[in-house]
Amino acid sequence: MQAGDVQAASGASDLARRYRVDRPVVADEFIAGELVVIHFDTGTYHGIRGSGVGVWQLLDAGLSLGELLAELAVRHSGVDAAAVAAVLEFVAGLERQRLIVPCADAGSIEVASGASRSGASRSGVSGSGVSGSGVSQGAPFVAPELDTRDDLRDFLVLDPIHDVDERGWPNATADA
Amino acid sequence: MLAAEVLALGPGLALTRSDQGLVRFFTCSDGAEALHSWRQWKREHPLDAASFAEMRMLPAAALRLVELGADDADLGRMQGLARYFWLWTQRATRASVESATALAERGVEVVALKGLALHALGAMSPVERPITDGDLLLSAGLEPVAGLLRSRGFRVQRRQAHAWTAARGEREEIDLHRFPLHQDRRSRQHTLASATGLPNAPWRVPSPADLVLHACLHGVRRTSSPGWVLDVRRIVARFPVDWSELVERARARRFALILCDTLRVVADVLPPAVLAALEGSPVTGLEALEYARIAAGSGPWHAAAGAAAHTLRGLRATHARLDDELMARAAQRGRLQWRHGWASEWQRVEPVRGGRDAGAQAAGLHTSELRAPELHASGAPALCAPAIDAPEPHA
Repeated sequence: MQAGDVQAASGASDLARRYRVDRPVVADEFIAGELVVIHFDTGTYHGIRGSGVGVWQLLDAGLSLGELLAELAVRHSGVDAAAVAAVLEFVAGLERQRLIVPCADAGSIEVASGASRSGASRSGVSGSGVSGSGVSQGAPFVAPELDTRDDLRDFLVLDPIHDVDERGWPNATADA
Repeated sequence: MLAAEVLALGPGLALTRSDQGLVRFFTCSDGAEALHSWRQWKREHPLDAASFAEMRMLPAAALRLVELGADDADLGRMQGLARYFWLWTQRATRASVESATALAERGVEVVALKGLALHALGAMSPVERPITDGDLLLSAGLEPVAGLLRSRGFRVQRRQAHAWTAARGEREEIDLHRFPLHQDRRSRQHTLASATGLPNAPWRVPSPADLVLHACLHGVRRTSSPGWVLDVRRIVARFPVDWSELVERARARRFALILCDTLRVVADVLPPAVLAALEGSPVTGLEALEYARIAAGSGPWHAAAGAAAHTLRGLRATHARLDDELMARAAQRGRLQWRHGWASEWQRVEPVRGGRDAGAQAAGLHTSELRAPELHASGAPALCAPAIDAPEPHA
């Protein structure tokens, strides 16, 4: 997808906008193929999967929305108008959940190294073989997923061994 | 009697045979052997019957299995445990940071202990080393501290002689310590005096020698998992331990016997003179009683040995000869009554050879130059650690 196509697909979105992860009220870690995030003030727990992991890391590295979309188009095949819309909606979801906040300064942009200040670069409990990034060069685009669990208490009282399915906590069994 | 002679009388109390296998899984550089150890341990410890102590080690086990490229039918649930304990750790850490910040603003010195200290130093990640509460050693009395934290929503839930537990909300628990070691009240002054500051952190952290000592003495309990072994190996690999200081303190505070038994588990990453110095330490009757108490685990012998040790500590101040006489009589009888309570699963530890961090000594790590039994300390360079973001003050 060309840069002009990205602009066209993004509609009226401000592609120059940049965000930062709202630390320290937000903490994150890359575990078991997904990014796990907690917002301490709202008490919500989130699991981020698919291209959402890469989007998070690129936002955290200081890329603007436009730069992020262009980078995704380089990294993935199949980044079409629907993919752009899905990414923008995902970013809007992150902002609604108060996980990211707009920022005025550019920050450091290190696309090549994939550098990120997030905990996503520290932990590598990954089944994908791609430790820390969740983004593989040339891999087909997978829509970003944001799995939000509002009532943390319900999930913390789950027995993390016996009340969960084969995917593990916080995925409860039907009768839990 | 010397520590080595005392230890030779029994199989040791540091690790069960089964847990030695789990340690091999984590530390053995041969992937096939590591996996063999894991499968054997898992056969004896099915996931559905995991104890809480075992559950806390499974996130690190999941990391290790992925590292080895191994399949496991329970990997999904183990990775779920990683998420579960990561969340718990984050909430406990957050509560600890808020508490420590509030206390520091009031002039209370705070030293992070155990897992919280290891995270603060960047020695271990919250995934590989979860915590379920934050351990904080305080320079002030616990009653005024509890009062101060009440305004932050914390309520004291449990009071023990060495620490109080305060909690607020789900999984936001902190242990407020009077002493870092419940066995030794004088450990408080030493830890407070020797702790190191961290940039942008609301707490200091113990010296590397203290980190090792705390990990060993907290870890060697019957209900504990072998996670303390991984803690000690990581501390030794990452930080310059003043071994001479550690040995001298162990001798002075009568921990040489227990410390020797536990450090034998990690002999492959220690300077050889450390164990030699500990093994050559004279052992008092009090020390042998406390060792026997731990070895007994629980039950009437455990209680009896504990009562005797407590009494002897009190008597020792005025009747130092009583301790020596007790030891002499035991030696005359040729035995010490600590075989009670030992189950057959305890086995003398075989040090892991060619461990994954066995090269620590050759990796430029600062260690003291030791000449057993005379030990000479060297200075420990300042610790460097990632900054910890303190929460924004509430409006």
